[in-house]
Amino acid sequence: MYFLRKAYRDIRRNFLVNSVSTIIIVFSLLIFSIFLVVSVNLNRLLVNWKGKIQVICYVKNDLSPNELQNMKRRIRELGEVRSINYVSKSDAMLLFKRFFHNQDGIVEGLDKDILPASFEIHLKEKSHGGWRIDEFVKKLSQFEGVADIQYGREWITRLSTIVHLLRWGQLIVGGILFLAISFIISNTIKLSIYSRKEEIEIMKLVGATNGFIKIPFLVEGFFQGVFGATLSLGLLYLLYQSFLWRSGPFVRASLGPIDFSFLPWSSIGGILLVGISLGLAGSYLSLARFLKA
Amino acid sequence: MRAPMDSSKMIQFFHVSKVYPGTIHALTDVTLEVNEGEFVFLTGPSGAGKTTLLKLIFCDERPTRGDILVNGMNVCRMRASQIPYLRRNIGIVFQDFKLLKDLSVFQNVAFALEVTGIRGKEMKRRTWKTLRMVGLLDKMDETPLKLSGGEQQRVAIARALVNNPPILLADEPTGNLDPEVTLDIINLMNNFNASGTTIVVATHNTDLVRKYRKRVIQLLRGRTVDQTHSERSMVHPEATASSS
Repeated sequence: MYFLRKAYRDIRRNFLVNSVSTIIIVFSLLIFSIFLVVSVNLNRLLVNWKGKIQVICYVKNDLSPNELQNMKRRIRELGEVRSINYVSKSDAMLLFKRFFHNQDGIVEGLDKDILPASFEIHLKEKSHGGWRIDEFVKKLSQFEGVADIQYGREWITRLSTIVHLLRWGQLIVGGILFLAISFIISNTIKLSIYSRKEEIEIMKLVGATNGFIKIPFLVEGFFQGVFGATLSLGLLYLLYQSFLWRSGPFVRASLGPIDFSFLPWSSIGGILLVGISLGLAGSYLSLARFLKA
Repeated sequence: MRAPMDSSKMIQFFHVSKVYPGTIHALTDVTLEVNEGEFVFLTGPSGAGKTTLLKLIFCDERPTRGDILVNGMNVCRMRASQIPYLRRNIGIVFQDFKLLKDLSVFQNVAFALEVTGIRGKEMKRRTWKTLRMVGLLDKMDETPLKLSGGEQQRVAIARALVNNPPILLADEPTGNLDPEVTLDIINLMNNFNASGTTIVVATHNTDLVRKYRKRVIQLLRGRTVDQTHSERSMVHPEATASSS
């Protein structure tokens, strides 16, 4: 209790220095958490895009309903299928008309049986890689009754490469950012402790033990970390809400329907933990130099 | 060889040398003793080794060779974790006062009690008592910057003595003060000495030393050249030339 009171007194005494270091912690962590929010939502966007990957299997005209049912069952048995949907000739025409509803000239006079029936197949996420889809399509093409298969191979390969690059990029940029903010925060705390070098010297001269000197500084470091992380998360939330309000509709219109998300609780806890750990470690390491003698 | 212990001796140096990195010989083969309750001046020109000698007593530096006993304890064998407890038995005063500018006079003095775990009413009682002894009770709420140099040094002395340590070390305590205030400060230390505190004052002010009938330990280039009573002390000609 004494050390808490002392830390509170010291924070008030050194209000300016403590405020400056807390502000630096806030902005360093804010930069890192902005990166995390962007990463989280980028991943959601990629999952969303990947969910749209589908294989369209056109079937021959002369298949009976029984044969179609049989074929659907066999496709499911391939094991990679998340969902499968049969689109009959008339359904295909209906979709076609809906798509071109403003251009009557195109639709007019078309025979309702002109479009082929098909199975729309969505694969499980683990099967989204280019070569896995290739394998699936190869197995599918050996089925009797298959007229043609379309699956936008190039687009899938490109998307897989983008996902791969982005995941690595996130790791590298995230790692560098984390190192940078650790460096900035620990040095900020170091500077704030250096500014109180004389006080530490006097404490040593009058017979303070290392523990007595360290504990209030560690308590201060802890609170700087907690305040810094909490304020940065608060600011991040405000920025996130204002982004949703101002740019959300525009982004959705450009990139497709995406459910934006704030940081998950685990990341919020992680940022608090990072703030506290850096506050404590910064204080501890800086003090270690003074207290060697 | 083990250093002999004598309970009437407060500080004993046995063939102590201190060499700083770069082979700078700050002290060479110094042997001296300060009795319990004694007031000793440590003189010599700048660079003679006065500050190093004081630092060795409160373990801010460790000797390269030799043994040092302080209040019966061999400080050369002391572990780092024991040093704070040694320092609670030694009051230390510096030329630049080393006060915390943003704390009041009271808080500066009470600070030395707080670190030893004395708090609350006992802390207040002892702080008031010491401030009364140095004549600053009426200024206890002021911050050091509002005080004169002499008053600031009184605060530093109060902080050094509030724990009732048996030893007071002062490194050029009057270096920043005018002659009149200098006498005030030495008289104040004299009062504490009269009540039993062993006092060692390092100074290069030979005029000040001559005014008091105290033992003088004279250092020159890291060696003791004289350890006599001040009225009999022949100030070394080199020391006079360098310190003027």
